[in-house]
Amino acid sequence: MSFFPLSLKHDLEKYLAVVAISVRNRLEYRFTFYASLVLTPLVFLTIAFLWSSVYTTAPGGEVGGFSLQEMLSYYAVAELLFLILASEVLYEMTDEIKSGDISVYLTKPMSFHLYNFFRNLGNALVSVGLRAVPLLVIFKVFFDIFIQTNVLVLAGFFASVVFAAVISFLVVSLIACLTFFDLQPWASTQVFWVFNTIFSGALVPLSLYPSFLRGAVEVTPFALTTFVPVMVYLGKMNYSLEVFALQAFWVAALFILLKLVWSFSIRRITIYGG
Amino acid sequence: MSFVSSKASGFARNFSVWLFYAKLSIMSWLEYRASIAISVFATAVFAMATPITFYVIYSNGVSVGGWNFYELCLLAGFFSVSLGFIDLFFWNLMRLPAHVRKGTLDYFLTKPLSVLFHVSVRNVDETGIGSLLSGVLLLALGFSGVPAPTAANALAGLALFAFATLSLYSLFLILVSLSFWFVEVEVLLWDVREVTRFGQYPISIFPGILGTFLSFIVPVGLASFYPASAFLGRNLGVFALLVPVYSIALFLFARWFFYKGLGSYSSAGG
Repeated sequence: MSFFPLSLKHDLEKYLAVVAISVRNRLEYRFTFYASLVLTPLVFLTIAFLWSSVYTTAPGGEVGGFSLQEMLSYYAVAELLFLILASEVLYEMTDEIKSGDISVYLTKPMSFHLYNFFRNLGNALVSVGLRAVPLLVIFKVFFDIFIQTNVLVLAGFFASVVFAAVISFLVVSLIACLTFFDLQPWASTQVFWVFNTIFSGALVPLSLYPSFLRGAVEVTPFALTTFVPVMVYLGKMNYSLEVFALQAFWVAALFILLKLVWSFSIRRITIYGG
Repeated sequence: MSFVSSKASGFARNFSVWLFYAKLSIMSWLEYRASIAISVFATAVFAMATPITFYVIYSNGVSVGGWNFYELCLLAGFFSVSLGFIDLFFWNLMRLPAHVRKGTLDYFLTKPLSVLFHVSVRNVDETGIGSLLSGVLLLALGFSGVPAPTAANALAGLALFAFATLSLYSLFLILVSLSFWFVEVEVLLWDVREVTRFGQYPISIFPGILGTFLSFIVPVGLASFYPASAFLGRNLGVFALLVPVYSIALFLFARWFFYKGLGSYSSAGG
């Protein structure tokens, strides 16, 4: 089967329909939406108090080259960025692989990966549309986070965000393949969360890690989904040719790897009934 | 529903039922060996997330709320052991919303056991093992770097720890009991579990109101801050008394709330 079929206009319509369905599905969960508008700032508040306390002991008001405002801005931007990453579609992909619902894509002119990519795009649109602005306002008003106004820096940031979305999707798709190899869906998703916790920089900026770890963790694809875009936004990392090359390298490498793993995995699958 | 009353059933009978369920659970773990191993490792890493943050903070020459790194390990350790204990033995409680939605709670109503006991202990879940392991590791690390506690302080710490665990259980019981009236309770449950992570922070870094909130509204701070403080010989003042009283009151309320909800349970389909 072709991996990413591209007969453009027809395909585009098909996948735009996927985006629309995903948007409608997502809009049903209003309670989730309200809960997140209360809980995200609450969680952020605790992070703010933790770091405020830490900064009272910081000589020169800096920790690892971050001022308190930069540190809080780091967490705020990371939180907003998380809205578009592909973490949730991982649950759906692993479930479809395990339950055999994946057969739908194998018998129809529809790519499993493109379908899920656009499904995630729908989720991301709703998340950004409903949550990003209120959260941004809360972060700005209550925590005075840094608003980047340099157009060139912002351009580099948006390029990094696009790469982050694609890389996160490719990583998630690869990890979902573990479900083909006798892992339960919940175990596959936890593999992702372990790597994400340690390597993405969502927990703490990677540049604060002890120096013997820093070089290694800053070039993983996980760093490109969170740490790198946020640092670019804050103007603490130039969107240089090297950064672009690293992003392009990981997109290419993960794409090829996924293609290999997928063509190997899909032959193992046995779907019962139907 | 008088026939589910457990007043007559003794501890021995409950224990033998629990033992049976524990055996069943462990047999089901063996079905998914690789997945269980990964899950244990993953929950252990998640329990380590906050200590890793603390480690990074201290390696940059700054500190948190007047606590040193070992003391923070104690805090994080107590919290992880508490949560791990609840997840290991009472995980089925987290499934109550699903049981209510699907009508499978019927199973628990038709057995001659206390419904609350039965619903709580139906599974021994591997989710707790990782947190427990991380917690024990953190406690060992923490105790290696602080002066040995006096017997009295250790006793007070253990007692506070037991009460704190009871209050955490009660919090989860109240949350899942909401499912008798509302549909999307799981979202709230998982979000609150996310907030419980802050039980690994010293409450003293939070200003008064938020500190009180994290102690007594969402009692996550209880599970670590007070036991750890007692072990470290810090003066707890009135809280030494308030924590036990509050924990017992919260449990009684949670229990009442659960049975109140159960009264309006109408099963599904049929």
